[in-house]
Amino acid sequence: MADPKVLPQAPAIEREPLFSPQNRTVLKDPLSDNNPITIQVLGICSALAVTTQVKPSLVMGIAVVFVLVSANLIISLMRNLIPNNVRIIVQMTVVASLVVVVDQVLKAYAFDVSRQLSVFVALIITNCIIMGRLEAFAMTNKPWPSVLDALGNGIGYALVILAVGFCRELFGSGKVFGVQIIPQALYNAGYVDNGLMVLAPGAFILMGLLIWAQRRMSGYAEEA
Amino acid sequence: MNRGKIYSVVFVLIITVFWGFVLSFAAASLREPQQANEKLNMRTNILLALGLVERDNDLDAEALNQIYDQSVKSFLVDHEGNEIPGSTAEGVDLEDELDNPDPAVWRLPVFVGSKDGATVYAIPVFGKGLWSTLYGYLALQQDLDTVAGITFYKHGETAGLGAEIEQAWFQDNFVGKKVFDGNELRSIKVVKGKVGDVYSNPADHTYAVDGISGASMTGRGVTDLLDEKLNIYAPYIRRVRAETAQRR
Repeated sequence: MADPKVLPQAPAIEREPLFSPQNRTVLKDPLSDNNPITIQVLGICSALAVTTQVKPSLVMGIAVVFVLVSANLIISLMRNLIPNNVRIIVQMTVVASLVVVVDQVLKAYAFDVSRQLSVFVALIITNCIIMGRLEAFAMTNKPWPSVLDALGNGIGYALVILAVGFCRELFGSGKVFGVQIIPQALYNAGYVDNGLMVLAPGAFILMGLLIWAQRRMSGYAEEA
Repeated sequence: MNRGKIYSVVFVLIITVFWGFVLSFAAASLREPQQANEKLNMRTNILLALGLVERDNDLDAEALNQIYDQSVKSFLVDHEGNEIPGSTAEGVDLEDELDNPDPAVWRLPVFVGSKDGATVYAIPVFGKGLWSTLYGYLALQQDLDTVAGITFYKHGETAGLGAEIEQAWFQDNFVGKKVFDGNELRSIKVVKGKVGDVYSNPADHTYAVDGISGASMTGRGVTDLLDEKLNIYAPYIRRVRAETAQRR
């Protein structure tokens, strides 16, 4: 990297700063302007399934961030060693192993949440966001930007499912994090929890509204 | 990057072995807390089925274990319904027992608690649903006829459909139903749709519960596993029922 032929005169610019403008874009872009869920519409299956409450959404978000960051880092470190013809298999192996580790840890230390998430932890393996970032970014970028890219995408995913989980739990059962938010007085006055919010269609509707709002703000439009 | 076939094979081999080690290590080092969780989960479900704790309670592991230790007794019965003296059901798995083709060596776990002065019995039940084996407990009142509660604590059914067997509304439907019709073991049927629509005779409603829409196969699984396990326990149930009847 400090090859004098490539960087002839510059110990000063020999290393890119950790948070160079380019790296900041890599981190920030997927948070909103290129959000994996609201813009790219990836990872929807799990986003719909686990968002009935805030807590599973949070755990799922953390799990995805962990898997994505680790996988992006590992693949990026190995990117020059991975044979091209088996690269998807290698990526799958890494992702699957990481997911199994997460699943085991949850079963050991967050048993209730792991039961709530059930198969959706294992299904992180098939979350398009993860394979997508490995193929599109980690295979061709250095480790540090890959970590930032993973953080950005993972947190972008987590923020969206947290928002959906928040709305679904609040309007579906009047709670947030299992704590009653909507006062009993309101129920006595005739307020009723919206049962639709607890069901999958409620998640679809919320997600649609979120995608609409997000695209409206960022001015993103899909090409016809 | 293209370095030839041998390179690819060796590379994949190394990756596989490495991750194999990582996974074995994770599985081995986490086994203890995982088993503790599973055991607590089973105990909690026994307590739930027996009606000794409320659903959605805020009790922690210690409190639940304490309640369990204080209020639940367990023993084993053989296939003829005789209690095995001095036995405990801890660590005995019904599924393992039934794997043995010879019923004479079966040891069937029974869990007993006491609620409001009356004895409540719980037996483990399991059987195939649509995708997976369902595991749960069925609790019967002192008369060994009326259902006190049912729980399912482990399954891999579709979330929102078959997985509804874990929900309160489904399980609560069983409470108060009967398993005996006179002296005949009739068990309880999970119907397709609503009980009221399936059976016109109200007498039949005692032996059926509403099904889960979109999960007929899971419902059939529950029907079958209840029937099967109740029949396995029938000698014991009949014996205790006869003894109770005599005492009256």
